[in-house]
Amino acid sequence: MTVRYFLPFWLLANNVLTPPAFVDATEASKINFVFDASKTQAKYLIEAMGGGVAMIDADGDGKLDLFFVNGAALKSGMGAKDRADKTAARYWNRLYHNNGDGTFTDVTEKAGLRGNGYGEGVAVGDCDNDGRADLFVTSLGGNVLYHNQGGGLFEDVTAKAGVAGGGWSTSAGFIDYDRDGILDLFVVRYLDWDFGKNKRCGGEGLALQAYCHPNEFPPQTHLLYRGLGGCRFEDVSAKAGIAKFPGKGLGVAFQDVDGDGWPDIFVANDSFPQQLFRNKRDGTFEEVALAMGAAYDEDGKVFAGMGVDIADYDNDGLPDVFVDALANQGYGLFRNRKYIFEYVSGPDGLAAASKMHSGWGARFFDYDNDGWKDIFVAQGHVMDNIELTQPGIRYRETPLLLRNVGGKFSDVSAKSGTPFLTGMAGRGAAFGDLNNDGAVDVVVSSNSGAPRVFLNRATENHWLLINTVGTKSNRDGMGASVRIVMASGRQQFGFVSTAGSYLSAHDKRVHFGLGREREVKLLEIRWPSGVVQTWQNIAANQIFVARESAQ
Amino acid sequence: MSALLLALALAQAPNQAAVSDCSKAFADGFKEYQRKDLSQALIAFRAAVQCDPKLVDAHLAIADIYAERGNDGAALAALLQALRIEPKNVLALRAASNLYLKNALHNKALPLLETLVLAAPTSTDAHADLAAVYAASGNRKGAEKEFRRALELQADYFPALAGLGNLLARAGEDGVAMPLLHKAIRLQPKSYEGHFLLGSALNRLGQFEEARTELEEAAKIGGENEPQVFYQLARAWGGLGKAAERRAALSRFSELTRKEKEDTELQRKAAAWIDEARVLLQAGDLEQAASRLELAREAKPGDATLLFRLAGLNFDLQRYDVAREYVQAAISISPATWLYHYLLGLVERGANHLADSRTSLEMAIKLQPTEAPAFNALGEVLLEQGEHQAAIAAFEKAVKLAPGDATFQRNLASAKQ
Repeated sequence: MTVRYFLPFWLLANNVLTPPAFVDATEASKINFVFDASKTQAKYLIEAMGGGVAMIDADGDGKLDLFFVNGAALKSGMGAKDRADKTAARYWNRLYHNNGDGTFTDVTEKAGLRGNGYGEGVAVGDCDNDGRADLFVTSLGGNVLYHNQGGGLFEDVTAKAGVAGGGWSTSAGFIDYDRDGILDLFVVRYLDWDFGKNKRCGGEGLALQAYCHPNEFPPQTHLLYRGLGGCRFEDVSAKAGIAKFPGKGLGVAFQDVDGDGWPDIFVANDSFPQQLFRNKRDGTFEEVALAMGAAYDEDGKVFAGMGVDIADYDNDGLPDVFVDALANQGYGLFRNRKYIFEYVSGPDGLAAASKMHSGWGARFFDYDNDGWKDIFVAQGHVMDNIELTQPGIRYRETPLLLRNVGGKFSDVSAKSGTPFLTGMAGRGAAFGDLNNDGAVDVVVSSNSGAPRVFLNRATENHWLLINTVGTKSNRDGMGASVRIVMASGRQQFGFVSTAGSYLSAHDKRVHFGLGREREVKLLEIRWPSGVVQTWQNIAANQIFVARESAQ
Repeated sequence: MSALLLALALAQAPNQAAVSDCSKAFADGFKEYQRKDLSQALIAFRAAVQCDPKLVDAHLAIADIYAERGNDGAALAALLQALRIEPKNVLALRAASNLYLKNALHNKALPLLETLVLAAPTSTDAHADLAAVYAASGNRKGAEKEFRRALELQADYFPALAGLGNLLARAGEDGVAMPLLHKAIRLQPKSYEGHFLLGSALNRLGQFEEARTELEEAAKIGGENEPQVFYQLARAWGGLGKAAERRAALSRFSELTRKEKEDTELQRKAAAWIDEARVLLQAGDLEQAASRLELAREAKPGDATLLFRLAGLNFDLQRYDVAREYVQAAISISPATWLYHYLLGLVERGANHLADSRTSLEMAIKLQPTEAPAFNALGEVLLEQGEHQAAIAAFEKAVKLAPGDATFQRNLASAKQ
């Protein structure tokens, strides 16, 4: 007897045997940036954490450019008031212009983006609704907002904007939390630490000296700035209730996790309960991670949350949360079951694939355009001498690619191309379509090393990129909820945000893989303004500009 | 660890008539131990290892006493010393790995357990412990193999049944996992761990009503202060759609984890205060340094080193009564540390309690007969007591141990005049 297994057609269309591969295009890109952590014998914890990377169309030519955050010169014995020195060119942040032919050109000096201080993360958003992407860079001791003046030129407007902050800022993101049409800014902070508070940690002798565990330092409050227009902001951290909940934050992502139409904020905390700030729709937030089941792992234990992303990986219309962690902990996948999260890393395949790894930059994205969001994780341990004390764990790790097959993940890294063969101390990771071919590419930063550009060669399946343009809403359309319905009746959901991952900022455009389907029957966008807009019968394989209607 | 000394007792009982001084010191220690005078026992065992540094059983006995007093660091040091002499000593491997596991140092326990299962291949608990460490470090295959080996040796071994059941349940192999967990509970129905693990597995399967029953049982029979029990219970209530009950379970979970968080924070603060004290001390501000150390002591009352530092500072400030209190507390935690007795001797001398000072200094010398400052201090006390010959003998010893020290030479010359 012959047994036939009838699979849903979208699984048949998935090229199960030959998943599309990435290629490492770093060399061809001519990007010569190196993140200089300026490692010292003092083992300042900040040396191990950077840095971020952003995909930003800095000059408005329709092609994503790349911005890299850099460290600064450190030396042993620095005091509380010392600031890391960024004078030397090797420590500058860098902007690379996308030439459109796979190569990039360093335009940092012309753009005015050298930066200052020991850099950490980057956020991208149009803070004055002028149609140009502005840039926010976090660092130890103070952050910088760069206003995009057009033509690829930026101006430091931090003082006027009132967003310098202080302390140790890490990830940041633009969000219109009050839905007033002006982008607001959320800045994650890590620890109450400065050079003067540094400690010696680890074993005896120089070789075993280690970066201190975050338990050695108190938590820090995060910052929320309300946009006032014209790239000016008001610090509402206390008023909005954010300052009541200090954390040890490294990553941040935004989504409407409770389906009330208002964006919420998830902060990945290191060795501290994860935080979910639920938007109360009145300008204030309540911290509900425990109540919603996303504060701890399956056993009720804290873990080292670093990178975070929120997206609907199982296509049920409810956004799910991914938070990666340090080796021996396993990455956390929290499935949204009617607004209570359930830790499903075990059954959904993540626990086994991630147990021995340390993850940082990460994102749900449909790398093979099959209609299911997969997961990519930039990896590498925080301790550069971890192999001396834990021989089974590696400092430099290859990235992890987890393929989503009907809501379950399997590790396909080994067969997904050259990027997954070479180890690195992966940190930030930005995702977006660098060559506008409908396949999402990845750029990963490395601690004390060169970043890597991974081009996605997925060609078999169809796709749609949606570029939202707000009119009544903020110009970027950040916070818009996107739903598509395909001819088969299948639905997928997206959310407009450049935040997520670790220290990094993504392509703003919402990407959907369509499998073998050549058309999207229905596109629905719920704009932050409250406008709900639909389009019908949109052909696949295009960058669709969705402009917000007047009402 | 008490089983360790019992084993030693069995091993040593026939040898109590041994003739060497070292064995006699060990036998003395054993007698003191039987009399439950752990301080004297420790002193005797220390004397035994000074007499014969390769006396493994004495190192083990020292470790046992330290572990019983909660001084895991000193216990581990003694056990590692024993393992340097006999790398495959089963008792030492067992005890050291237990201490590492107790302190969540799985990486350090792992090589010891791997050696232990080779040295004692029929030890069920060694295989089960090794399996648990493998499981914690992501080595699923190794964990399963070792759990199964433990069950081959003893089919009704609860930790292996529960451990293997939990491992397989987490891997989604419920068909094999559930019977193991049920069997574990049948064996130990009053163990909260079994009910907790079964409840957690049932939660994963979405069998929330059954999970709730198991978890409530776990909370009743020993898991009432275990946060993870209430976390899983909240999950079960959530699955059953009972929001109020879920909130109550989460509230209890929060209450229990808050205590853990507060303890962690207190330890962090204590470390910061100690650092501040060090800086103040270097700047010569003894008063402020002492106040920081006092704050740290409140957070870490059982830290003998901290008590010793406080005693030293108060001695420098000539607050002898306070110094005495601290150093005596340090001695009660770690009675065989010569330095503590030496400091107590100095404190008593400062307070003009010469007889007490002499007793303490003699004890310091007994514990560590190679420290010249202790002999010199004893000489000074003896001199004040009018015992010139004994003082000269003490100074001579100090000079012999530290021939280059001008103070000791001067004291000796002065005593001889």
